[in-house]
Amino acid sequence: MTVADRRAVPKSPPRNAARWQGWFRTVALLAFVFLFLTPLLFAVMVAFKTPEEQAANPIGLPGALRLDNFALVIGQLNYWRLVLNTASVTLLSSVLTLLVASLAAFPLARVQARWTEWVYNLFILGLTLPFFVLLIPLYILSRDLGLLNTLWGAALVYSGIMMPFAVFFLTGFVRSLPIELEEASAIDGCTPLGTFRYVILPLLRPANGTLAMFVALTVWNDLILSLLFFTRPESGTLTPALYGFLGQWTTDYTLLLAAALLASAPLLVFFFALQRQIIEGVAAGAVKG
Amino acid sequence: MKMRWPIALSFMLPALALYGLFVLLPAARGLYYSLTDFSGAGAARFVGLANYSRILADPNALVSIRNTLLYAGVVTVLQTVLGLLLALWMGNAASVRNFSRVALFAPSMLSGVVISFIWTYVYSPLGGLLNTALEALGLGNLKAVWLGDPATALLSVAAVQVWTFTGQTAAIYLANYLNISQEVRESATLDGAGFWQRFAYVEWPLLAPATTVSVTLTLIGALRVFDLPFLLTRGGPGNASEVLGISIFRAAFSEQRFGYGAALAAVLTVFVVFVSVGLTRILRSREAAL
Repeated sequence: MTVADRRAVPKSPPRNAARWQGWFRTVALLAFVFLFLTPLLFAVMVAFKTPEEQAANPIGLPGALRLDNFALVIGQLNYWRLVLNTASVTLLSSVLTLLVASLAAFPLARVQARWTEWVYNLFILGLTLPFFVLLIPLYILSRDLGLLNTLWGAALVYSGIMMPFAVFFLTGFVRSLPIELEEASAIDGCTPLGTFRYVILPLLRPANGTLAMFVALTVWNDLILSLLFFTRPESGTLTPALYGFLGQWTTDYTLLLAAALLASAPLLVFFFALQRQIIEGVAAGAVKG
Repeated sequence: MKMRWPIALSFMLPALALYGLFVLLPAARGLYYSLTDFSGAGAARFVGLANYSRILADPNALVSIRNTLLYAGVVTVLQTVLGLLLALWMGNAASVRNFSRVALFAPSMLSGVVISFIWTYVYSPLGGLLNTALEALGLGNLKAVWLGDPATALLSVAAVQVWTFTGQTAAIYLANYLNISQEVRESATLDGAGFWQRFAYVEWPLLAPATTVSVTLTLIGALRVFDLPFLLTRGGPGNASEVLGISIFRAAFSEQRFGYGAALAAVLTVFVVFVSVGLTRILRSREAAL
């Protein structure tokens, strides 16, 4: 990465011109990024305004740094309860997905037989199925099993849906690990479960970190499944409650945007703390090819 | 490695159970429902391919299929071009590269509901950011009811999708761009290639892996889109921005036509599988040609 940081400068133009060009590029890029983020910046600003201020001057600054909109939303939405629910579902889904998929990835990567290949392909099949195919029967199934409106039920369903990607991702990772360590631990008398626990799982940590971020993002931001799953939005996760808020306050952007900001705040904190890993996780596929 | 098959299978069992119960079983039942007149409750009567032939005779479904393909095409082209340009730009502005990458990526972290709150405000005909800004810039004649006019609704929603995910495309291209070795770049420059020549003949072919990943992700994501059109326009006005995701949802959950909804879902699956297999094959062969 550091090598590419230095761009080769053609010899013909004088160095000064090249430097100015570089400055211009940098400033222009910054200007573009700010323009790009304008909707976001204005949304934050509107969340601090009163409806009267907003009506009088839609692009003006708020008169004071008022938190009334946020206080109102927190009260209306039962905010802390929803955050706790969403965090529980997200955490449960992530842990379950990681654990179950790691267990499966180990033999799928290491046992070479026709039937393991078959099972692997069965998982891969799930990667191509659009979620909509499952939607209707999944709703009926969850209703019949009594999973609707339960946090653990939602976590089970999310884990099932994440399984094809998780298995695909982790199996590929286990295959890239050197097999000698496992052989050594087997010679030392480790059971397969012991080898998994003491050799594979620690080596899988970076892959599981990336996977956990994907699962967490998917679950936290999911709309369609949570909309069907939590028929009583007040006892569910953030998105369906936020969605219900839209109908109630359609025209008052000061409240809507305060709600939007509150709903994304926990995730944005998560993103800025782990931005490097998240972005590299998304970009990784392109570099490995 | 030596692992006897009962042990190997028992390791896979929890994953297979979750996957089988919540993905494979519903998928199989969905396929079956598409051959019935199931309404969501009560008995399902087998009707053969009637639901599928009904799709071909349903003008609304055909509009929805057309809209889905148009939406996916527009989003993929715009997002790829914009993401690529931004990656080149960031690749040549080292001092603000990290900041730009994070800032551009941030919208893709937000949920569709939050994005839709922001953009209903931007597009609003009553004091919305876009119209107000156009007015302030003296471009008042460009003002529009962005989401309420059949002529602009679908493209306005597509623009929001591009805005949300361009940062991801740019990050994918940037990672690949920074991986191109400096020697390759320098030798092209020594041979007298200008910036655009170097891009067209040297860098663009070497960016093939990033193109494969980002185009595939973008296109499949756009074909199965639901959140943004549903939240921003409900598919309206009329059916001007109705995509297959919305048609499926509506058939199943508002009109109680589960069978018909399941048939539409099967059609969408065929599109997605067809596109992803075909596209991956084409794009991978470009990589192999390197």
